[in-house]
Amino acid sequence: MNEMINNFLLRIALSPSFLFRKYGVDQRQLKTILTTKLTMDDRRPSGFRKNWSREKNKEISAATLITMFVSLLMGGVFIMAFQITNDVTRMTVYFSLFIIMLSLFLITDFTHVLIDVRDNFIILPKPVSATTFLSARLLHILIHISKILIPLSIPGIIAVLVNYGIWGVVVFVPVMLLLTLFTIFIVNASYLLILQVFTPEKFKSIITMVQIGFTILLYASFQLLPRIMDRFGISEFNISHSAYAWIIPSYWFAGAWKFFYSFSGEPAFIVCTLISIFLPFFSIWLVVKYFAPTFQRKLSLLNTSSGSDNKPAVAKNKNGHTSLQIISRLAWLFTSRGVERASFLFCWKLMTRSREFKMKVYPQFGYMIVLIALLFFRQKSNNFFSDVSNYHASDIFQILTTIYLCSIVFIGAIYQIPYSDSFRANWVYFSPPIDKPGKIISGAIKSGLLQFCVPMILAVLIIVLILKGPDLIPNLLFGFSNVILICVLFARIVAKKLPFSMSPQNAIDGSTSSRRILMFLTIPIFGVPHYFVFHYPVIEGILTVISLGASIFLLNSIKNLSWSSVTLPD
Amino acid sequence: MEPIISIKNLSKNYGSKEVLKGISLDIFPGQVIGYIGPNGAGKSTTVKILCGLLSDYTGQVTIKGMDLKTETLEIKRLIGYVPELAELYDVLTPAEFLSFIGDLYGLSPNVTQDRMIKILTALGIEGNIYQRMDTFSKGMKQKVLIASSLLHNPEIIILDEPLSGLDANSVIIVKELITMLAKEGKTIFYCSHMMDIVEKVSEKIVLIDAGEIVANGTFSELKEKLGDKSLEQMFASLTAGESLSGAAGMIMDAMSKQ
Repeated sequence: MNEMINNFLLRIALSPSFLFRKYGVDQRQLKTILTTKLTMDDRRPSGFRKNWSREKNKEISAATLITMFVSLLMGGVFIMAFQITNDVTRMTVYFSLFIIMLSLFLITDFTHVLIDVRDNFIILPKPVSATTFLSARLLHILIHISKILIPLSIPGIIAVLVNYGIWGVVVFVPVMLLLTLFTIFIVNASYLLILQVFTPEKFKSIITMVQIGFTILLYASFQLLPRIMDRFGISEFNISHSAYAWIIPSYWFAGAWKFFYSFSGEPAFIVCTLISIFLPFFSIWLVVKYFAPTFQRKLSLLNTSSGSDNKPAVAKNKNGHTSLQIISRLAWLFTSRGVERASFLFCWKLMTRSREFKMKVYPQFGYMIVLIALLFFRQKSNNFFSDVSNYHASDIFQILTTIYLCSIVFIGAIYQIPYSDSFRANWVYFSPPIDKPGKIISGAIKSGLLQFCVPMILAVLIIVLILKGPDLIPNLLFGFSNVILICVLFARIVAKKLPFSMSPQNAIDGSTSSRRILMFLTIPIFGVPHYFVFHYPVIEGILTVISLGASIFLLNSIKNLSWSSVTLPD
Repeated sequence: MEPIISIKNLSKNYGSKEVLKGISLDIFPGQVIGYIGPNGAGKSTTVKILCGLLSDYTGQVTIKGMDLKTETLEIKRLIGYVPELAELYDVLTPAEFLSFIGDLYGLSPNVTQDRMIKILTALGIEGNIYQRMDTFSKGMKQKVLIASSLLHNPEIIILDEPLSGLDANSVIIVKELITMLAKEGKTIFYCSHMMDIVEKVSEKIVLIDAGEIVANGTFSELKEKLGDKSLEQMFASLTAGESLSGAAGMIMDAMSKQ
């Protein structure tokens, strides 16, 4: 099936052979490069699946099918835009979602196509002409995009067919193609901009941040968009009435669609049509003429040790940055001397510097923020600064959920701590004479708590205090001490692996995921009793002390884990 | 005899940093050149230029009388290259990877298949031909790379640290191979840090430091010039001056202080 799709797309890509002959492209080389690249694509987990699901996939061969399925699903979600009654507004929203989704796909899934530095060593030293190589890269991109594009747009096409009939679709498809060209340009341009501003070494980290941002944005848009539409009556809104519409690219394309669909002589739509036809071709010309060569040159500098005169990041002075000093202070406060403190500092640095770790954990922060925003969005009554005794059950539920959700970020982080691409460096734990590996683990857990849990707690604390007033303080304190207890409890049960010591390949086995679900169920075990003592600050005070005591006890017990009770890497 | 590789006044900058400062070198067919130098001396840059990966250099490089800047493709056909970092597409199997390379050189699939099996068998990884390389050790990947550089029967072979990660027996095979290839008239450009092997396999040794050639000649010529030392000692005296001799002492000293 997979191979069929690949072969089909490959045959189409290679069909204009007269063109290739004209421009001196070696067709045999072209075919072999494309076939190889497509085979490799199929065996590589897509950026999407890496973030969205984390099933163990040692041998990936159905990547194409899964990518196509995910796109189809996403395309289905976009149809919610068709709830809007106004034609142009509806299309603007649909096209916006489409642009965002496609760019996200291109950026996450495409970094490896655009930045495969191995090409420099493998293909470029071979007698392959620049034209052949560039054509191969371009066709590869096109094939890759069509695998996403076709399923992504199918639900939209059906929706257009239902709402506007055949003529609507006939107009819709070319507009989508123009939109796609435009999106490719945007992605390309932003890559190039990033490369202009930042050093090639920083490039990959920046891309990671962009990916994280995008993932959060996407999640937020799925969660919040329908509610915003509901709340502000956007379903009745007509975008053409707003002058701001012109700064939204998808509006131009929506206008063009409207123009072709109804042949309305409205000047605004005629302008839109002109822009949407002219702009994509102009931008593709820009990409081919100016961007691609610069891009190529910049990329060839990536990963070459001698290739740049940029100095690696170094600590500013002997004692390092001020942030490092603060961290040492924290380590001094919260850990005991020796192995635990060393592990605390080590894990702190790895967590803040490792790209893969950030990629896995930071989006969860975003999800948290979105979830909390969602909770406040749902709330209909604005009981700012009202007396706690007047709280409805739903208000209490909202506040408690907000508090207890904070533990999820930490649980996500703690779960990732044992895994790293550089897991082979785990000899550092075995070569020195360490009596209790529990000290390493407790250092790592404390590091994670301070880095992920505490800032989250502080942020929520401040937001809730500002929105709801100081009456909630006993509840917040009790809640957060419970959050810490949940985190530590989770760590005690699950974290029997040394930090950054295992291959990410082993990240999921059935037992840990079922344990994880179990842990999510423990959140209500603490949350529900809290609900019943919500109005009794004195009891809460006593329970806070007990809860904190339990956390300290558990942390100490982790510290005492012996070599026989930790899971060692193979 | 005409040199097969002729480098005249070759310079290359990365921004304001001058990596090669006017290198001139003639290499003749059948020679094994040991190209050595400390980290950052410009070895890899020279190799990248010879392989046609970098074209924005100044000076002239001709290979078999062809200018590297204008006849890049023709020249690439003559060269087999083993890159430094065991770079390959490791989700492929050796068979897939090597057929891909064979296709890029325009070899017929039968020739590729035949040569690939023979070479990989000789290197002792015939049992892994159809396994994906992502589980391979560095040495196994290195063997595949060596095979990929020989598939098209090149006249010039550029080896950038070809022995890294190889086990002792494979090192013996590769050393023998280098000697036999040279006997066949192939020219070998051998970049390495391993002085003892360079000393043994190379006919001519070129030592560069900070982008300049500081020594160039056969091992016996170098001995005449620099005294009866091992290549390692010559290397140290030319590239590090006196700074090395004290280093070990300083380390011993550092450990003794509490």
